[in-house]
Amino acid sequence: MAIQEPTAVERFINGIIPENPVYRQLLGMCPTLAVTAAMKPAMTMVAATAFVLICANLITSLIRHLLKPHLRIVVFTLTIATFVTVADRFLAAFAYSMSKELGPYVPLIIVNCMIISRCEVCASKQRVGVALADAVGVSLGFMLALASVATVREILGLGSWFGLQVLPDGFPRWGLMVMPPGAFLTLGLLLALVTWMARRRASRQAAATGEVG
Amino acid sequence: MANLRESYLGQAWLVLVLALVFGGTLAGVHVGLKDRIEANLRAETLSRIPELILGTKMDQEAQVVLFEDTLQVQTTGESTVELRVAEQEIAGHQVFEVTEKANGARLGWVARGAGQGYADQIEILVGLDSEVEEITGLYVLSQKETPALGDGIAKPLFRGRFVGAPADRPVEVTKVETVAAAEPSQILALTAATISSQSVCDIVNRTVADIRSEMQQ
Repeated sequence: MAIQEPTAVERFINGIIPENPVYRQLLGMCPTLAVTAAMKPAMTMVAATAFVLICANLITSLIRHLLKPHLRIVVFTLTIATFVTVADRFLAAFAYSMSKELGPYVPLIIVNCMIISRCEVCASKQRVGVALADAVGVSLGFMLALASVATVREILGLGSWFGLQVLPDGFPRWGLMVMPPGAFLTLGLLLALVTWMARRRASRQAAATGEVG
Repeated sequence: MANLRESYLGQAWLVLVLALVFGGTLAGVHVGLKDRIEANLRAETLSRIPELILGTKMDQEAQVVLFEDTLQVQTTGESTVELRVAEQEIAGHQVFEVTEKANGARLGWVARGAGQGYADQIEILVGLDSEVEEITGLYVLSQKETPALGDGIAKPLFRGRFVGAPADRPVEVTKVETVAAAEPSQILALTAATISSQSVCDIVNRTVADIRSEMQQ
């Protein structure tokens, strides 16, 4: 019996929260930790990653019938590397200071497992519309994850959000939050929160099903 | 026919076609954006010239204002100095001759150099005094060294180790703090990033040597 593949709507919704790349699959940890000291670099990273993910998913889906199983990873890597280079050059041309701030983390999108996993799991098996919905959903999930970490770190560490001051001058700044330990602490606590919420929801659903049954 | 399908070409034709298409795409992107990227690099280079030449004499909070070939800079004495920058090519390097606009006195040179780092190409700016005898500053224009290790080459702590180093002999990397403190040509390496540190020293040595030999001729 053929396995029923998720529809475009299911792919889109799954990517945002149920299969969130960071909080549920623990993928894309490097940018989540490295560029979330403030919202601006985090959102630039999200935009670059979304561009690469959408383009890679589209190309992979278009050529999915031509892929040979033993060469598919080479094709995925080639496709991803091309679009990462395009994103890197566009940032250097049109957002130079941000390109300098992100440094090697833009080229490192090539090794972001989140992208290659979407090519493997969805785009190489399903039609273009589904692959596009999947890429957009996962990109939104990635944005949600990076935005949550960056919001906590920027507000507590710098007293600002997107560069705009949101905490009064009298509120002490936690310098640690914009340094690497702050990234690990924030991500760990948010992961714990998301896992606790998911478990509570699951146990409530199980209890409800039990009552009905 | 079956042989062709089983051959390397038959198996890998898609990879080859994609490589050609993607290669062409990247070439197009490069051609379309290279002037803009180069203009960004030039603007950054010009904005860094005052700190490479004036060093501690420059107000660290000062805004550098550029009018055509003149850079207006606030010095620590609350006064403003105007620098004139003349670009030229020496021994294949982009070099900027920096003079004081008021009296025409040459203050120094800033040269652009590049070379292979641990991960990728490193591009630097090296500031030299008017006689090309001493290094007055170093700035890293672009690098993709290992985050949290080799990328320390772009930070002021490492760059500051080159200030005051002689330009008439090569700088060398050392791992011993006392040796670096005693001898200006010895540059203390970054911990766990000796190759990146060595790469910067090599690029500095090559750039300075090229310029000195061309000027001596």
